[in-house]
Amino acid sequence: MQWYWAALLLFGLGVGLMMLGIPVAIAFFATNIVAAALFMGGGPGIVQVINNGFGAMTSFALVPIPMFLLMGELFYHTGLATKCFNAADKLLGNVRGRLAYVTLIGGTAFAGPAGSSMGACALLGSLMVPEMMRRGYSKYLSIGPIMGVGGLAVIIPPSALTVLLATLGRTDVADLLIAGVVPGFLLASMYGVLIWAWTVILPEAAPAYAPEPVSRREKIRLFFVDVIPMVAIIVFSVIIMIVGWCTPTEAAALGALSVIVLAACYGEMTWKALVKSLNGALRVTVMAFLIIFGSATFAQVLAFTGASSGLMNWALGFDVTPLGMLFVMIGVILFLGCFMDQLSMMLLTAPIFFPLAKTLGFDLTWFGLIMLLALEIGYTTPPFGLLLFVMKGVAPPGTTMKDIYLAGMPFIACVLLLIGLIIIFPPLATWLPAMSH
Amino acid sequence: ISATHVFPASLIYSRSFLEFVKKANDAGRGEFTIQVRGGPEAIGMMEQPGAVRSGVVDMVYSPCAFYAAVVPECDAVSASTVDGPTARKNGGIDLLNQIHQKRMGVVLLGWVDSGIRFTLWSTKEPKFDSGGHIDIKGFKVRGNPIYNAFLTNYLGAQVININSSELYTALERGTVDITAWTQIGLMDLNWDRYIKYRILPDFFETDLMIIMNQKKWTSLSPKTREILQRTAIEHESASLQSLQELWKKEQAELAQRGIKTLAQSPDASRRFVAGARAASLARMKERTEKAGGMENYERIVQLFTPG
Amino acid sequence: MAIAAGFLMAAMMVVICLDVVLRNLGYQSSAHFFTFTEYALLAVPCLGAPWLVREKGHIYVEILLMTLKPRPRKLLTCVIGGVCIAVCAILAWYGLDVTISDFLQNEKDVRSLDMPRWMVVGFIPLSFAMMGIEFLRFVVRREDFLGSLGGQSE
Ligand code: NA
Ligand code: NA
Repeated sequence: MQWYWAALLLFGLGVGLMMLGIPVAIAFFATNIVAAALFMGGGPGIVQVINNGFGAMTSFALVPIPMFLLMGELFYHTGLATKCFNAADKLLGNVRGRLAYVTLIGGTAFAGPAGSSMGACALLGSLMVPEMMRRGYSKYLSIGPIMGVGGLAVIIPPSALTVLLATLGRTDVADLLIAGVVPGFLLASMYGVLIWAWTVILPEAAPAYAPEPVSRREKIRLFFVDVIPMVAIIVFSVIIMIVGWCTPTEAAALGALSVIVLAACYGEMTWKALVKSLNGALRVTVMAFLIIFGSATFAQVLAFTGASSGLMNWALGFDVTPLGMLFVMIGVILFLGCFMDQLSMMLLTAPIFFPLAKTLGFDLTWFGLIMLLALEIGYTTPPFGLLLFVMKGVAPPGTTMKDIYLAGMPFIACVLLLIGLIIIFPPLATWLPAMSH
Repeated sequence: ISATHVFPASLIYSRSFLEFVKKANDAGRGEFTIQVRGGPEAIGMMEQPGAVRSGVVDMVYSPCAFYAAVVPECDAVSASTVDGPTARKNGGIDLLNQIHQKRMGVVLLGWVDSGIRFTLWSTKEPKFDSGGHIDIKGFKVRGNPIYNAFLTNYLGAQVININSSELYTALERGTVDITAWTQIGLMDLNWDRYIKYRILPDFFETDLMIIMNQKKWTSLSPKTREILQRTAIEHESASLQSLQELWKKEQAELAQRGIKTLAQSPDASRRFVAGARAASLARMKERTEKAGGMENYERIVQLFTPG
Repeated sequence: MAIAAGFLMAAMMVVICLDVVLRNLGYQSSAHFFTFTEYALLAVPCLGAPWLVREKGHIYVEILLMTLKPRPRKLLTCVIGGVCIAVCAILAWYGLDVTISDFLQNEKDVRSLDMPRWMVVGFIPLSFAMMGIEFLRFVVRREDFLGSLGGQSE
């Protein structure tokens, strides 16, 4: 069978089943079963899919996700989060959409060192979304910024995905990491402008209630009692990562533990809160992992049938200018990003794209950064995006998948704009690495 | 003939395998073609040996250690004192091939990319005791399930388990001070930015195997089998030579990049290498006793570690 | 099973913390800790998945379902249920196959210890079988097993 038939069958079946309303994980499994039976020799093929899934699950470097989730849920259910945001609300005064900015600033500070998009999104999602919706923020404004910030975790160093991409592309890791700093903060500022524009154009998205006036003494008390301890935990988990005391996973676990300790100090650590937190974290973990199980094996089947390399070689076969070829490559990543997780995509595309970029005379750091941004978009593009699913897991009941798709769109537009800027103005990516030499 | 390789295509070892495939396809034009389906993106790293065993894929390029629980004799390869061509000549590979067929239902085409050893790469300068033994108490060493026992028991090192994709950041931050890695390929991963010392002696040996599903193998025409086998044997020597040349080049480059080589005293080195070998062979013995087939144990040990 | 999964997750947190603390106190922590977290990573979703079906927590794209009238929607829900059951049944069956052959061939998973592979792989068929049963219960009771649509309920 030609690769395009295999590709058509796999993508068509996967998307078709999902659109029918079959749970995403099951849709992937069904596609995998059909494909394995067809291309991998029937029964043994299905057995292989199960074995692949086993391998993916036990080694995917996924441990941070449940730990970050647990940390977020604990913050929320012990009431520490509400305390802190009440305080932030009062302290910030009458800024429209202030919690969206809190998400953005806090998220950028946290996502950077955490380096795990899904972890950061899970933490912020379980922390902020219920709180913001409770205060009458529109669901789009509550959900969107968090997915945007989740994507930042990849660009702002350190980030495991960046290291992996540079390794696969055989280019300089440090340069690529450093290259992400300027665009990362630029992107965060673009998000800031976006939120501001949003609240100006659609004022009803963020409720304009004036906070009750607070005395200066009360403000100081709020700051020290309600804000500082929580910020301290986040700062603590960031610092122990940066000084090399432990890995991000371990930092997340310690973070969760310190929330328990802190909550106990406030007398808020009840058995009920613990059970609720475990329940919430478990929900999202199970859901996300099942989907990862399905999608990781889907990507493998796709690669095994030759559909992925066929698609890539076909796309690269066009006779176009270097710039045209760059757009083709971005296009391939964006397309694959609709169906696959970032790791699989990297393994698939990097060994082909980087040598090609080299022959086209591109600066590999610049190219790597563009590729990273394009990969990051895949986190939030429908129908399949890991951040979308994490978000759906932590969002309050009644939030539909469509809401989440739409909420992510403006932030995707920002990333596309940034890619455009970097193409037009390469020093955005290359200046800082050059300075560091 | 479908094939997969356990490492990403960009790694030096995978490139060597792809070269083998190219040679075989050139030699077998009109007779057969090997279609490479990809690396870990097609079938997970640790799942590939199982896949060739069940016949989902016909040929796999994998370290023997990945399936050492099925073929315990793999440990003799990593502990070996000889290289591929030597083991081919003295009959070691033939015996290992028979064991592969019996235990796992796969044919061992060749032990390629041999002759490369493992090295301890460190970011901090280690101390040496009066006997010239390296003293790395308090150093954090990146572990590998396969070598952990040796690292902790012999060196008393603190082992940290970490994904190799996270290792760069871990070295930068000092979460990890020492990592064991093959002699070559360090600079491909850019770890040389943080690595300052190479600690001799080198130990263990790469154990990369090209294996094929046995049923598939017997279904091929005699001519195809002959070409495949011949190309594999040629590649055993060719890859040995080209990787040794690469290692020479990389050594010069590493020295130029300021990586110092420290050596334990000759006596300590001997003990170190012997310790590593003993740890491997002990595990092999233990596993073979459980799995049966002890009658080959002595011969395998003798053929792969004659020195 | 969900309780076991929740417990495992809490245990993961404790084990990871313990690992860090021990290491930084200068003790040699056991490599088995790490292996435990990797296995827990498989066990948690496997144990939790059937519970998630009962809780209607699985993610699906509801765009088509939302546009349908109640009757065809009900029909489609049944079809979806059928597909879910079939998929779970197939995976449970082949998962069992893997588990049994791993057991018979004495296959080991090589990590910090040689774990008999069937003991860990066995979570997969167990999970899918239970998931299938949960889906079946919903279909038999003619209940809507997908979560709330567009905020109509809850
Ligand atoms: Na980051
Ligand atoms: Na996507």
